[in-house]
Amino acid sequence: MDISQIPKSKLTWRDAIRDSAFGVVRRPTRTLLTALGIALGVASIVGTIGMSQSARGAVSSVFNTQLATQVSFAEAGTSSTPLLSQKSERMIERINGVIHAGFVSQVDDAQPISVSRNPGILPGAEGSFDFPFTVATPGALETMHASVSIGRLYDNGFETRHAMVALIGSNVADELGITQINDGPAIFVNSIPLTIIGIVNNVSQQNQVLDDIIVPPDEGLIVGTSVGPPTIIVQTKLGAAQVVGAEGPYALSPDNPDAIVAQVPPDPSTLRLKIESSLTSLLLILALVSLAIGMVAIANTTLLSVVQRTAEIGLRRSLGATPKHIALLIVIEGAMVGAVGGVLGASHGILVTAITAVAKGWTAELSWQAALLAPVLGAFVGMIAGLYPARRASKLSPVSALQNGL
Amino acid sequence: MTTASTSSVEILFEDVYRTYEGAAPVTALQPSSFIINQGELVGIVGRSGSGKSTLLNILGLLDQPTGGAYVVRGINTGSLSEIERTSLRSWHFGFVFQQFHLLNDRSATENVELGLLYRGSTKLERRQQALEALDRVGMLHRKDAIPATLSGGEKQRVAIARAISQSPQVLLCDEPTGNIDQTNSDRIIELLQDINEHGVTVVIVTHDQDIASKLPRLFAVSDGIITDSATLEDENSERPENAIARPQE
Repeated sequence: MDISQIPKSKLTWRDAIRDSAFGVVRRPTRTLLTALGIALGVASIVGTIGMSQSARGAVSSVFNTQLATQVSFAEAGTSSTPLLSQKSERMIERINGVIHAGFVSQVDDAQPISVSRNPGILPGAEGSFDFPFTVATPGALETMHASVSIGRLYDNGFETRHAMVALIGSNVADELGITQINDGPAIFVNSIPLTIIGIVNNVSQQNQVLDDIIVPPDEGLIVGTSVGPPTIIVQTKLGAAQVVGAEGPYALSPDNPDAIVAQVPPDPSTLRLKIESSLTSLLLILALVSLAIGMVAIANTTLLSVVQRTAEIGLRRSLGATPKHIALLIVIEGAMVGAVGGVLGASHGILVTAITAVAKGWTAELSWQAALLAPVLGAFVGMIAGLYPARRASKLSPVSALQNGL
Repeated sequence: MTTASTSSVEILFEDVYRTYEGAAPVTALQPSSFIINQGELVGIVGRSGSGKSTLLNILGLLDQPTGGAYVVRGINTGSLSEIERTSLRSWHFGFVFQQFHLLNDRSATENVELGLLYRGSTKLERRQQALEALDRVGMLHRKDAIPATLSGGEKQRVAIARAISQSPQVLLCDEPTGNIDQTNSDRIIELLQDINEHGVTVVIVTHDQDIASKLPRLFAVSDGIITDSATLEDENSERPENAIARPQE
């Protein structure tokens, strides 16, 4: 007989996978415990990706409503002829992407002006109060999303009629002791009465107005000696702030656009990406550390399993398994355990994302790619973790394996 | 050296010896020469540590001799690669162990199928051959049982089924009755004799005198020296008692 007549030992991939699956399926407790490390790592990764995606929506909405749509224009320097006026509102509103625009300014450079609840009280005397005055057009009130706790805002009709009205900030109302306006309470500035028609308790910008008395532009020079410098505040559509900021100076001062300074929020997409990427990077690093720990855990457990199964390895060698077949068995088992860990991890990662999103009031955004790739990642990590134990197992001599494995 | 016609020679040992290297090298098997013919039933007896397991491991290609020529059916195993040795082991030899070496998480049938896994046969073929082997050892009725539910005798029958499912030319049995009671022990030996009668060369390592006395040819191993009862018979016309190593109890 010649050795060439002896068929080579061979193991088909299908049989190798089926054989490895025996070990994984028939020893579920061992499989689950071994897979736990991978599951934690994969859960961290899926959860991190899911939570950062969900948080992205929340971060976006904050940026969009609070910051990314607010632009303001002011004069670059003092010029003899004011470049900005109430007419500037309409100039700005013609720019594509502008929702509201308004004229805002301070009376007497925001220096406090003495007011009282009764006429005839001199400044500094008992019963007089000092408050700054803000001049704002109805458009400005709309732009800053001013809302009142009681009463109403003034509109263009009040302006047209030159009605002597005022809004007071909620902090001013507290100091003046005004809690209701049904009887049309008035305040007096130099004996000039202003009827309070509302108490402003919330604005989206120009927060200082809560400490101010707000009047239409025509009243500015009545209650004070000067008005200025003016600011045009603008609310834009989402994503239009950059364009409006760039075009605004040309619309407001075509001859000398450099005389107008635009304050534009940082590009939200850039800022958001910066925040997201640093947050996501941090979380992903933590997740990768978890995964590495999982890999070490699975490698240890597999190594222990190789020691426990020494006799089985010896038996397989006696039955015709080559060292490569033994290594394949261990590596495939590692990959399968890793895949189980990946599935468990993905499930828990999705669950954690959903729970976190609900708790935070976010819209849960789950990456189906991450969920589908998780078992593949787990299998890969499991396979890598199985390499060293597989090498050890394949180097066992059949005799010592059979003897020592008893 | 025993003479035999080349065509019927199963195993040829020519000055084979085994030394374990180390600080103090140990010669587990002294240079030995013998022939085992196809279809023989041979026993190996000897005390623990006498070298009989070393002999069996070399016979089964689980271990390699340090020197000498070990020839299996005309193939000099010394020149084989690891893969070729593994293939020859798989296709030519079957193993029965004292500890059974059954996988606890697999049924009797699945354990027997494992013996055919590395031959590239289909699952259907493996299943069919496994069931035939279980039938032959009288264990078909327990084909779905897991080892934990089997008696020692039953476990060994399943292990024998795993070995014979491969249709080996040589069946190497290492203390096959070492872990089972007397009744089952007799049945196992009868089964091995039956397998031998069907043309399979059977080599049994045993401590048991009763079993040894039933075997037509014995190798007594003592301090690595093999005494072949067949050689002694040729010289003395009958098998002497001293050809059988007595186990130390």
